[in-house]
Amino acid sequence: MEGLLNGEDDAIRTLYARFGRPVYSLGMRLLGSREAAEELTQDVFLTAWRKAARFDPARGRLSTWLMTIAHNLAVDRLRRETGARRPTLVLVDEVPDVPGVPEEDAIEERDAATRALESLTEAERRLLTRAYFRGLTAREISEADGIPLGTVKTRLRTAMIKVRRANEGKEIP
Amino acid sequence: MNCLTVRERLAEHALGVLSASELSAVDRHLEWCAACRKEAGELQGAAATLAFSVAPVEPPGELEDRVLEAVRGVAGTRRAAAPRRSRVAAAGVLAAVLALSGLAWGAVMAGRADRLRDQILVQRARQEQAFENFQAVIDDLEGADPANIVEVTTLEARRARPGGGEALVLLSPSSDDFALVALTGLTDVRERRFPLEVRLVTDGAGASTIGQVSSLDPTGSVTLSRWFVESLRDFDAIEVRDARGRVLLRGALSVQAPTA
Repeated sequence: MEGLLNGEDDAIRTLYARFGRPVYSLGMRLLGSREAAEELTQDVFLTAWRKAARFDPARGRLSTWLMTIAHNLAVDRLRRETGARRPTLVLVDEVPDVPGVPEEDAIEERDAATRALESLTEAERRLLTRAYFRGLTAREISEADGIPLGTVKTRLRTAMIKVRRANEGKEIP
Repeated sequence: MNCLTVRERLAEHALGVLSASELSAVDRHLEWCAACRKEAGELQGAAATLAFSVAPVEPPGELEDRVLEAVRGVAGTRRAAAPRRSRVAAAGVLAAVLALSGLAWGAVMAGRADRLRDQILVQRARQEQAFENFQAVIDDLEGADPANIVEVTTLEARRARPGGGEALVLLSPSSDDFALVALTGLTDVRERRFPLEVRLVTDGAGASTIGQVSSLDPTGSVTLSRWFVESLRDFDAIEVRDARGRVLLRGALSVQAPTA
């Protein structure tokens, strides 16, 4: 982190090697264009540099910290560009493994994501997808689906607890 | 909020879908409650797991170098930067300040600068103090620190309420930091909601007031600015709250990368 703070090439390249592809993938899948995904990736690493001094490994994993930055920036952009067409979201368990694609980056995190998806019912998965990847609030989902707000909130909580439990005891570095 | 009401909202907090006012209240609680903070951290970790669940897409090979260059650029300007990058950074700050002052049309912030410029032109007659501040910056630019960094944001209201704004924060390792906020379109703020507080905030800890707004013009606009002796580097966002603490507008700050 100190290396990132000082703009050291090795530190930035190490961080990019681990998280560049997940961040770019998030941008492509949410924002739908190569240009937007590249801008997002650049913004994420700039923001990480700006906040590097405040990253505290005792309070959370690096992957959580960085992907939270990426998610926040991506969803902020989605909310700003309300009229733009969005791509169909494709999740990791919906595509076959591509032979030859390097797997050294964030493979543990992708395995954790797969376990999390497997722990959800189809309805829970759709609900979390709309909240997390589309930035819809519980109220917006409630109004769109015509179901009580409290029910949506409860379902979101239940689904998130399942995601958390799916990886309990499987520490990710 | 007590622990029970906060915990009911922590899943939405982790998913990033709380309203601005609820987010602010939950964050305030998390500042001092270690038990809820632990729970929030675990759910945040679970949410981050979801971020890895999108199907991977291979980024273009040259993106790594561009990311490296961007970070090295802004990080380098805080150290003794390479001469070319220093000039670019200084030019960026100059262009931004000139654009904001209405004295010249800089392009460093593209549409952002245009919107700010237009608002400030309208406001300028009533903003003598702000103008003097800009002038002081301009006067100082002969010796502008190349390590200066500009952060910008667009302030937005949630749930389609009227109002918005633009803000700029100048981070200077060698002189005072500076924040400028231009608000507009706040036409539905009732009298009893004043004064509004415009402030810099961080993730869950700390805030610093840029200024208070006692009234708005008929278009719901106002521009305010302040110099800070203390560093503003750690602040993440700017928000506008009404007298009851309800967040009206919020925008996350991000580094304006030097542009060649």
